[in-house]
Amino acid sequence: MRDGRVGRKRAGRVSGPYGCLFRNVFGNSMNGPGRVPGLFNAGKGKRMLDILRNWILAICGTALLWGVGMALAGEKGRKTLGVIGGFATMAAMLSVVGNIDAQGVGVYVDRYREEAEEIAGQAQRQAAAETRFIIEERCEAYIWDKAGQLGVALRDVTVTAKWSGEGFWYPCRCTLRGVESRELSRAIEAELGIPLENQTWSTDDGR
Amino acid sequence: MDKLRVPAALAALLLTALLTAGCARAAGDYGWLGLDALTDALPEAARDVLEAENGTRSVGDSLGRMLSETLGGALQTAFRAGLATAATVLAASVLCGVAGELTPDRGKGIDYVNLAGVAAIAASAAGGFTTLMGEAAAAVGELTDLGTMLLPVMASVSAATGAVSSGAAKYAASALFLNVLGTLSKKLVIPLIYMYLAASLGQAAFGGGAGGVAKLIAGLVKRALIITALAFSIYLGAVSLIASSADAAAVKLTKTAISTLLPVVGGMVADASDTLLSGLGVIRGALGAAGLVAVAAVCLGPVARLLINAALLRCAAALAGTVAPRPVSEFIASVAEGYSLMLALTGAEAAMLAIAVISAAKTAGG
Repeated sequence: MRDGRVGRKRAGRVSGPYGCLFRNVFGNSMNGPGRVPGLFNAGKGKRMLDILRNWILAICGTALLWGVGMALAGEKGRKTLGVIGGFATMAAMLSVVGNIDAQGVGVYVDRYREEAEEIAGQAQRQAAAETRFIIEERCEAYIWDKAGQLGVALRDVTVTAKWSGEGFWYPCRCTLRGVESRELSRAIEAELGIPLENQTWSTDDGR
Repeated sequence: MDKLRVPAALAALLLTALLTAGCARAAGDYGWLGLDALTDALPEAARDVLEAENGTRSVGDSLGRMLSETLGGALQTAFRAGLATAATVLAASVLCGVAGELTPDRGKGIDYVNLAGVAAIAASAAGGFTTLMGEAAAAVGELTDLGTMLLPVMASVSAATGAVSSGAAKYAASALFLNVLGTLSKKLVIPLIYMYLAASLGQAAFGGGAGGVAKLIAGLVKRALIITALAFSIYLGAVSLIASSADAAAVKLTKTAISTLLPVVGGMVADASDTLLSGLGVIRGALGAAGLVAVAAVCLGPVARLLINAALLRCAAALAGTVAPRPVSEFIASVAEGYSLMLALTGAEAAMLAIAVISAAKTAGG
């Protein structure tokens, strides 16, 4: 059982899971510069799951040691061991008091909510860009078809869509390269909703 | 084959998603969904599997092939190994029983016949138990990693189809609970299972109150898993219900606004939206189906082995109860219970991820 947050190693300390348990339950009851921070003084920033884990393991480990000790002890030792074990188990159970950080739980939950919002926002923007592309492409295809029906010679069509603010893109302007046709312009205005002033015609020589 | 479990699962996921979605591709590129990142994350062995596959293989074929390859080999090996362990354990129990009959006056101190029997059982079961616990713990980790890779992609697809609030809420809930369970399993549940075995060993060997501790731990683990799974289901259902109504209202508002446009452009706008939604809907469904295949591929082997070992040891405990001292047969039952606890943990993680995937795949949008 690794727990680097328990504190620095001291010479001669008991290692392993039960050493960790010892430190977690009793470590902080010692004073002085060699004090090992434990559950009684978890410090700020200690994560809730680590606190919960150490608390439960401390209770179970204490009870386990107590049980094995009672089984191995003789008749005379059992009374003393019973009292000591009882106090140790109570101390382990009460050790979590004061270490619970409810704000820490909120921060933990908020982290996932923010991540989810970022993912959803990015996907929404990408989908909107895809939809814009589809609409512009289809409007261009429509203008090409209409030009063909009217016998207008076009060289290039570019449609630009705009966000409506109500949840969709709509075609707002277009650039047409070829011989200008009033009939085609009126058809674009009537059927695609692009006003005449937003339609830009240019010939092959750039005029 | 076990090392290829996650790569093979990811290969099945990617293969199914890409093949079925390719036919419904609209204009534009779906690379922003992160499907390329999933491919890049596959190790070389998995890419080889992907390239070697027949392009027309369906989800059903993938599942059937995975079931036959994983279960066929795993079941046979696990059954043989479990049977060997159960036979060894039973033999130790019988010897213990015979020794107990031959030494009826053992006094009130430590029962050395019991101690020897329990030690022999612990020694014969320890190796297999540790190995299987490691495999199951690795499966739990792989499930968490699978969720970390898959759920954001599914949340992106859901948000792109219009289910912005519900997609985000489901992802947040799923990622939170899966991460909590994954961390709890590694830092708390697995150490508690070992502690449970230690307490059962202490009870069987020395008597005393260690049995009470063992029962406390087993009850704690079961309740923790039940509470986590229940809380996840309830929370996911609640956020889905609340967020879905907000998304539905937003979609209705948009459709109403579109209907005010000119007929031709209104039709184009609605059609463009439908085209994108249909393509993304196919991807979402494919990802959901492939995600379930991947979950099954990751946990099927360890779950099958845990089930077989638990069942065989329970049979051994029942048989040992007729000849061996009670503490010995109870200890065998405790080892079987240890397997069951690990099975519950693996099953809980797999079930939660499956529920998260199904919920994300069913997120209604558009």
